Amino acid sequence: MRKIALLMLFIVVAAPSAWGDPYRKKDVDPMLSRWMFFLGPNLSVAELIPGADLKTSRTIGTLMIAYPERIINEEDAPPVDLKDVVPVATVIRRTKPDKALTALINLHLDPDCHFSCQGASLVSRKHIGYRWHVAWELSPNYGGSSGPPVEYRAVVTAGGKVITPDFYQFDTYISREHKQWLCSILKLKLPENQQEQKMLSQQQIEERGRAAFQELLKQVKVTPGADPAQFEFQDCRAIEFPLRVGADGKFQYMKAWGVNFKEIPGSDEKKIEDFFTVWVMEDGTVSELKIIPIDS
Amino acid sequence: MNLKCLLLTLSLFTASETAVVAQAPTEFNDWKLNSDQMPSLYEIEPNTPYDLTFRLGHVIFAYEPDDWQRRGLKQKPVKLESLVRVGKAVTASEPDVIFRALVDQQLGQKQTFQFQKANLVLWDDSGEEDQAELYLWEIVWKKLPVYGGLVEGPEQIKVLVDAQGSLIPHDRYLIDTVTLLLPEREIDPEQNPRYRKTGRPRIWPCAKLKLEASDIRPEKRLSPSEIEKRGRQAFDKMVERLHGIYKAESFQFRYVGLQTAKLPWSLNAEGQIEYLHVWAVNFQEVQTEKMKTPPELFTVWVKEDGTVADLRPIDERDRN
Repeated sequence: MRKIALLMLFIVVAAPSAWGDPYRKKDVDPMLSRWMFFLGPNLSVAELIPGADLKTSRTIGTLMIAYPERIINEEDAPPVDLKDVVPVATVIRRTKPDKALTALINLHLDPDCHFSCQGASLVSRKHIGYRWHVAWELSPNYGGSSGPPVEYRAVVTAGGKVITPDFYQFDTYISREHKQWLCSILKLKLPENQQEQKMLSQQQIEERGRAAFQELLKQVKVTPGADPAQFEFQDCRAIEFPLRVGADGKFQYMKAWGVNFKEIPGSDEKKIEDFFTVWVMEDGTVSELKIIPIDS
Repeated sequence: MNLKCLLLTLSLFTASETAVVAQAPTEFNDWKLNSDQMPSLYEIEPNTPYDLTFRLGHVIFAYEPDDWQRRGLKQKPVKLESLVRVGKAVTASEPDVIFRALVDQQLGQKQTFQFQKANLVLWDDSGEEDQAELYLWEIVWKKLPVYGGLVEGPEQIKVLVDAQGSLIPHDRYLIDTVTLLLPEREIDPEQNPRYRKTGRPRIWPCAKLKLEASDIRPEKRLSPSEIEKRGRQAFDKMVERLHGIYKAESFQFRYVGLQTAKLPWSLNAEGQIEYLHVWAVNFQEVQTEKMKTPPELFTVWVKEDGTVADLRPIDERDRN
């Protein structure tokens, strides 16, 4: 009898999480939650993505929403007269983040957030014309504050065309020995033809990741007299990034593998919790890996 | 006898001189105000949203939403779809001839304006989606001197347009302030020297006269002597208040004189600029100690109908 009572108690306690409490989400994967509010000291959006427009590009955790300057600064052709600029209601409706974008962002956030429109501005720019900027701010679904405001900036031309940003999954890592940033930048986009695509096995993915990381380490400048930092392979797992809502109402995903490496601490050093992720796409394409010196 | 006669003519002559001065006051035309030596706009006009308030010369431009409600000017909520198109709102907010003339006068330099940005503003959020809301357009104009160079005042000015596309005119205040230096602060031995304020605290007598559209045609016009009397009375009251403030007991002032001033205010039927006339009743501090600069004038603004500016001392020590 006592056993049954204990069992009952266990079920009552465990049930809400075990039986799919709709309000509870699974924890954010550590590969996606590394930097919450900044890229890392001394690093700017432009250093990770050269040519990104600083005024409109935003990072949300390790997700970057970037507008290439080239497209942001593209002239309206033909120029749109002020009186013909598309109405603000249309602009807000067209830029409202869809389910896929909300899901993509919530993959990176805990607790889950939703978008609300925090304002729209028509900006007049010399040589370009008029542009709408809409600020979609994220706030937690069940109230409270998530700290500094996190927003997605939508840009629309005077004629009403939504300028689509590029999405990147990135990682940055700093090693004390190296005084350099190791950067890994993966552009998120749906594979053009999913059927024809060749898929690599997990082992092949891991091999690609290791090889690319070794190449990156070769480029690291080591301070004379110091030992180069050593890394070891930690693990490898896949993430599905929702990028679009298909005609059937279901998400279309891009699957990518995170191949993680951990620095081996020196004998006098404490254990290092941090790790570095090399992203590898299913077809074996490796994320852009580069080194950014700290002083620049 | 001859000498007496001479003296009499002389005194008559001087008397008539002063009489002439009293009859034809000079025109107030130095509109510059040294912003380093002023209290903040927020201290002068605390009831308006800070980022919508700006000062050009002696005129403060502000919006006072609470006052709209008091006057029953509450805007009608609309749905986003029926909000006026942004192009129309920008056109409605474009600085007109009168506004430009006033700005040029106050800054002493010709200015031009460029449309920079139109922000959709939710004035009063109901929190419900798809509901009618109190939307406004906040139009940002960049102000540039036509002939280049540096100009005092803000680089951007903001103008509000309501959801139906009508310009919401700024409330305008004619102001003046003068800096009075209080004696050195006493040193509090308990206080950490690092946090001690240095320099002499300041106190600013401040005049603020709200100008209305209707002031251009006042119901009555008072005589200069009556204007002077009202200005001096109000000023004396303010000085009394000033003397009641700690360490400010000893400031003394003298009356300097009366001036006229005119501000570009509206267009008449022929399209010509009509001016709003105001009186400047000027005072000056009688300084007991030697200062590097002569004391500045302090102007009590008085409308033609005798309405005197609101006068009050602003004490720097009240800042936290």
